[in-house]
Formats: sequence, structure tokens, C-alpha cells
Amino acid sequence: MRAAPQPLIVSLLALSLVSMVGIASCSRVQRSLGESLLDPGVGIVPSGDAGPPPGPDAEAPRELCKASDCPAPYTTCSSDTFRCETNSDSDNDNCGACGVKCPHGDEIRDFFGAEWSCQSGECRMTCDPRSLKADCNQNPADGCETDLGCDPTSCGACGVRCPDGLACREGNCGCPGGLTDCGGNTCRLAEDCVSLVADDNNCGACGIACPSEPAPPYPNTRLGCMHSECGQVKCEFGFDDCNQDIETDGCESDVFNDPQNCGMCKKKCAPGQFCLAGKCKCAPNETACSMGEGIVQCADLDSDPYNCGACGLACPMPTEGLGIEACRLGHCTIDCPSGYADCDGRVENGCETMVSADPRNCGACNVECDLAVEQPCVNGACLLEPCTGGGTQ
Amino acid sequence: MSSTNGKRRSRTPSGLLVATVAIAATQLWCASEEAVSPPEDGGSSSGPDAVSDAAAPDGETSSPACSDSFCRVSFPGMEAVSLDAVWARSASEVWLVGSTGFAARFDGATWRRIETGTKAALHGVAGTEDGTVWGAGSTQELLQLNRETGGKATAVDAGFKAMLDDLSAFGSEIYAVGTTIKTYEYPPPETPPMPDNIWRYGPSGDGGQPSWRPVSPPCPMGEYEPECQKLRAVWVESSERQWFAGDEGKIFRTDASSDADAGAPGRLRLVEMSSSSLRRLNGLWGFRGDDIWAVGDQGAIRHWDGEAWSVVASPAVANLHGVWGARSDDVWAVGEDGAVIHWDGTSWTVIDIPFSGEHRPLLRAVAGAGDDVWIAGEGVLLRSRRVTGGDR
Repeated sequence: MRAAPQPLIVSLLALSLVSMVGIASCSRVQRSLGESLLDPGVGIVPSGDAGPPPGPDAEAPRELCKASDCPAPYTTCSSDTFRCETNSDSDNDNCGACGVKCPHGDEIRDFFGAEWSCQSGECRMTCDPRSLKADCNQNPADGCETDLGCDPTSCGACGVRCPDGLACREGNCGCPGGLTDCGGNTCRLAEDCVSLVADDNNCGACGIACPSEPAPPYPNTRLGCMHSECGQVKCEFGFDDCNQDIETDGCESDVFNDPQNCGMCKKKCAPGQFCLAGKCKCAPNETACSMGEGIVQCADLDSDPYNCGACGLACPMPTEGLGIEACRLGHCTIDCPSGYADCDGRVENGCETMVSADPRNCGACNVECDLAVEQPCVNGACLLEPCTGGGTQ
Repeated sequence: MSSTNGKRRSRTPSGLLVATVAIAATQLWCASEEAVSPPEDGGSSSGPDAVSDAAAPDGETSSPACSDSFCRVSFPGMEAVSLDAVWARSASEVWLVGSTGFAARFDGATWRRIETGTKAALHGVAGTEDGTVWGAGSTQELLQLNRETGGKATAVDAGFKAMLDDLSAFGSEIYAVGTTIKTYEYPPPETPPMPDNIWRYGPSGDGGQPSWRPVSPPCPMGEYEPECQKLRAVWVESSERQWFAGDEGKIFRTDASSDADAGAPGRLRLVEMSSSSLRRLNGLWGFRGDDIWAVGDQGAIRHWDGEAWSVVASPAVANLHGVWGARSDDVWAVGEDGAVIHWDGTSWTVIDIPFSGEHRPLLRAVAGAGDDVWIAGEGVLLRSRRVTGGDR
């Protein structure tokens, strides 16, 4: 049962719905940007020039002039730092027009199983890909209301009905072969589908639990359900009787950690690998890093920000602003979201520069637009337009 | 003595890396007479166990194999590697190290891969006068590249855990800068190890066996624990004087004056110098004690003339990572976006490289012997075309 929506959520949703209707009719103007703009990325100014570097339009085709007016869908909203900063086609906080917010974020996603994002100037709903929720009734007002993992009338997909007597388990009708549905209500295969042959709580039939009995005198064994009968000697979880001699040495193989029997008997790990939780580690591109206390972790020293270039070398993380620490080819760096860059080289403040709109760092750090004519930086490029006579080339 | 400078900043978009790697990969199988030497050099052969090095034939990719000044050199295994440092004892002994445990040696004709037995990054390389060549990443990978043990470069236990970002040698000594790697133990030790940022390899003061040991002054207390200034480059002028550069435009040199405070035993005394820069300095190289260059982020270039550090007009706006010179009037600096600039004694000028547009790679280090100049970067190795063949 859902809790009542928070007032904030309701208002955001209402606003988004208004925006869907009201903004959808906004006309779009074909942009005159892009193909004629030059690559600003070489980062070098002409020799002997100690002054500021030229903008990316320094060698622009002659038929293009510097422009100053924002081209649609770019606009300048009151919260913007730079001119033409907002792309009203895709800005979730200014979708179609300044101030029109698309409901999004963790709270919205948790409640509706969906969130709204700005696409072509309209707030459009998408279901949370991390869940099995879907909008089967095609009504965005209740978000993605259907749980495809549990709903027997929409199991795995909208409208897929399970046969009578079969429940929906993780998007599938009924349990996989060999397992029995004992009527749990989690909708999860691992919890609701049991083996009546070996499940201590459902031994031979649903609900038949084996009694607790003293452990047998063999290492790593206990009494429980085997072959649908209680009181049978079986291995403790994580161990196996690989030598088939349980009365001599019990379940002698630690299949969680034994590289000769990793995960199951006779499954050998490759040379240089070790066995962790029943899986052979590390991958060929990884290094086994000792983390102390006997803990070993596999790390790709080329790309692991917690083991960058060497085991244990953690990359510093930004303490404010955008961006996350990253490791590239053994060097610590910051991964910046699209449109931002770390121009000052300081990790602490993250990706502090909006290279998508900053005319002093347009498209890349230190690439300046013509500030004298207020040439804006639009989508990472100094704005140009076809010359109409009198323009600044 | 030359110094190499492997640095850690990188902001090249991943797409650029992929493109660079793709370009490099296309060069890999393009064997040519230029494989071993620049075109003017006449070419030579590669041994059967040698890695092949080849320049791309013109017209096969969007970038030519050579520019007026440099040719690309490729060999298997370098495409997905950040080549972080290069060091040359002579034109016939050049060493190259990088990420994923990469190490290779050029003997004047052929590059040969060195088996290191590690996948850790090697950020610095330098040699001492006894012939030993050190490659360093973390101190778990402190390697004598030309000493073999069990088919691999000999690993040396330094006795401490640190990531070494740059090495510089003078005589029998090597200085390294980097960062102490924190270790987490439970329960935590009563006296946790103090962090350091400078280490030295060499004979001890009493004539004992050479060893690695930390020599940085005690690092100042931060908010919760001692925090060291991040140093990224070192150049050793002499046994008595060493130079260091790093974040926030910091430059230090050892205080060799007799009237200085004694300082902590076995530790350097450092004097901070005004660099007139708050930008990170990534590379340091000197010709003499009155002719030293520092380069850094956003094209920053500073020069020491024996009296003061001065700002030098830079033709680059990209971050510069490495600097090296053959003479006072023949200095090279390299950096991001394929930045290669040259000092001719009067001014710095941009030098063209055989990469264009978005394929321009991140270059991390430059070194060489005389006119034989090598530039290393992410998936790329360049060699100058104006080789004279002589060591300088």
C-alpha cells in the first residue's frame, strides 16, 4: 500500500503535467550551430602570442559571423550564470520554459517507480530501469504502477497473465523446473521457490521442517534434509565432500576458498588466481591487492580509483561541486559530467567550470569567445551565425 | 643528467583516448624502414624477439606518420598504455615506462620489452652512474630494470609504502617524489606511520650499503593527521641541492646553507621559493643551477636564472606535464592535447606533431640524447627527425 504523496511531489507532478500540455506546442527553431565551428581542442595559441588564446571561431569560414542572440532552444533563465546557458529542450529544471521542472530524483522514483525527464521541451515519463515496474495503464498520473515481477495479470510484461494456480515470480509464471512454489509472497525466486529434496524447512513437502538435531561426528557436517528425508548427513554451507568419503574426513573441501575446488568439487582456478566466495579471482587484467587482515581484493590498477596505479592508492575525491574521482591508465583524475570540466586543476572543488556555457572556457578550458561583442558560448561552442551584413567575422 | 617527468593529471576525454588508441593500433602493423630510426637515419633492423616499431604510412589514417619534427613510433603492447616516463643515458640506451607495468629499452636500433611481473603503473625512470636503471611506481614495484631476477626485472623492497611519481638521478643517488600509501590495520597501530613526499636512494652517510629511505621534512599537521604537500616533479642539481615542484605552484629547493637549522636527522631542509604561480607544476628540469625550467597546468612556464623564478610567455594553454632539454637553448615541453613546445634560447614556439584535431594525445614525458628526442604519452611514442646520431 502506498503512502500518501508528499505535497512537494504532488505539486511537482502537477507542474510537470501542466508543462507537458502547455509547453509541448513551443515551436523549435533550427539551430545554425555546429558543423562550421572549429575544433577548439588543440590547446595551443600561435607562437609568440602571450595574450589570450583565440576562440574556436578564429579560423571560421568567412560566411559565418559572431552572434550574440540565444538560438532556440537555448535561453537565459534567472538562475543562470551565463547567457544562453539553459537548453530548454533538455533541462529538467527549465523544460520548455524557464522554471518548468520535470519531477525527478530518488524520492519521485521511489514513489512512482518512474521519473520525468525533459525531452524535446516536454517532461516525459520513464520507468525506473532498476525495478520491474511498468506503466501498463498508460496513465502517467500514477507513474509506473504495475510490478511486472509480481503481478499475475502482467507477469514479465504488460498483459501477460499467468495460468490459474501459478504465481508470478520475478517476472516468470511459476518456479523453474525442480523447484516448488510453497506459497511465499516475496515474488522472488530464491525465497519462494524451494527444493523439496533438500530444503530443511520444506522437506518432501511444503511446510515440513526438519527438527534440530545434534551435529554428526564428521567435520563440517550437520543433519538435515536430503533426498526429501530429514535426519540425513549433509555438508555445512560452503563445504563439500569432494573425496566422497564423508565418514573419514566429513565435508573436507572449503568450496568458498579452495582454489582446487572453487564453488564446486574439482573446479580449479587458473594459476595466479585465488578462490573467493566460491568464485575464481582475479581476472587476467586484475591484481590481487592485500587489504590487510587477510582480506584480498581484485583490482584493475589501470582503472580502479581505490587502487590507482598501485594497490591501496586511493584517488582524492572532490569535497564539493560536481565530478567523481576516477583512475585512468594508472593516473588519478576526475570524471566530469557532460558540459563541465576541472579547469583549475584542483580536485577539492571538482568540475567547477561549465564549459558548455562559459564564454571564457567554451567547450574546453581557456577557450574564450569574443567577450567584446558578448558572443555567448552555446553548447560548448562560441556562437556563430550566417553573416547578414555588418556582422563581426 | 637528464630528468624525466611522469605526471598524474589527465583530462583528455575518454573518446580521445579511444581514438588515440585506435590510431596507434593502425600504426602497429605498418612496418617500414622508419621503424627503428627517423627517416633521416637510414633505418635499421629489428631482431626476431624485438618489438616492432613502426611509423604509419602516409594516407592510411587521418594523421600522417611524421610531422616536420617528429615521427610516430609504435610497437605491440603500447596502444592501451600510458607511457609515463622516458629517460636516456645516451642515444643507444633509452628507457620507457608506463601503466600496466610497461617497461621497454631502446638500444639504438630496437625497442625491447622488459618483463616486470606487475600490472601496476610505473611513473618514473632514471639511472645511476653504476649503470643501474630504476623504474618506479609504488614501492611494491620498485624495479631495477636492467637487473634480472627469475626472468623479470629485479624488485627491491624499499621498506615503506608509497607511490613514486617522478625520479631524478645524480651520480649514485636518486631522488623520488610521491605520496605515501595509507594502510588500514585493525586495530590501528598506536604510532601510525608518518606520511612522506620525498625519498632518496643512495649510500648512507656512514658509507653503508645504498638503500631507499624517506628524506622529506616532517609534513605539517592537517585537519586530522599530517598532510604532505603534493610534489609532482624533482630535479637533482647536485648531491647538495635538489629541486622539487608540485601543486599550487609550489617550488622548493634544499637548503644547503651552513647557517640553516639542523632540521630533523636524516631529513632534507627545504626552502620554498616564489614561483608566481598557483597552477600545479608538473615538470622540472635544469641545465645548471642557474638555468632551471618548471612547467605546469594551463601552459604555465617558469624559469630560474639563479636569482629568481620568472614568468615566461607560453604559447600553450593546455596542461604541460614534462620538460627536458639537451642544451640551454634547446628545451622541450610536452602536455595535453598533443602540446609540444620548444625553447630556442629566445622564445617558446609550438612544434607540430603527426596528430591532428581530436586525435591529439595526452603527452606526459620528454627526454633524449642531444637531438635524438623522445616524447611519450597515452598510447603514443614520438621520435625527433633531426637525429644527429651522437650522444651529447
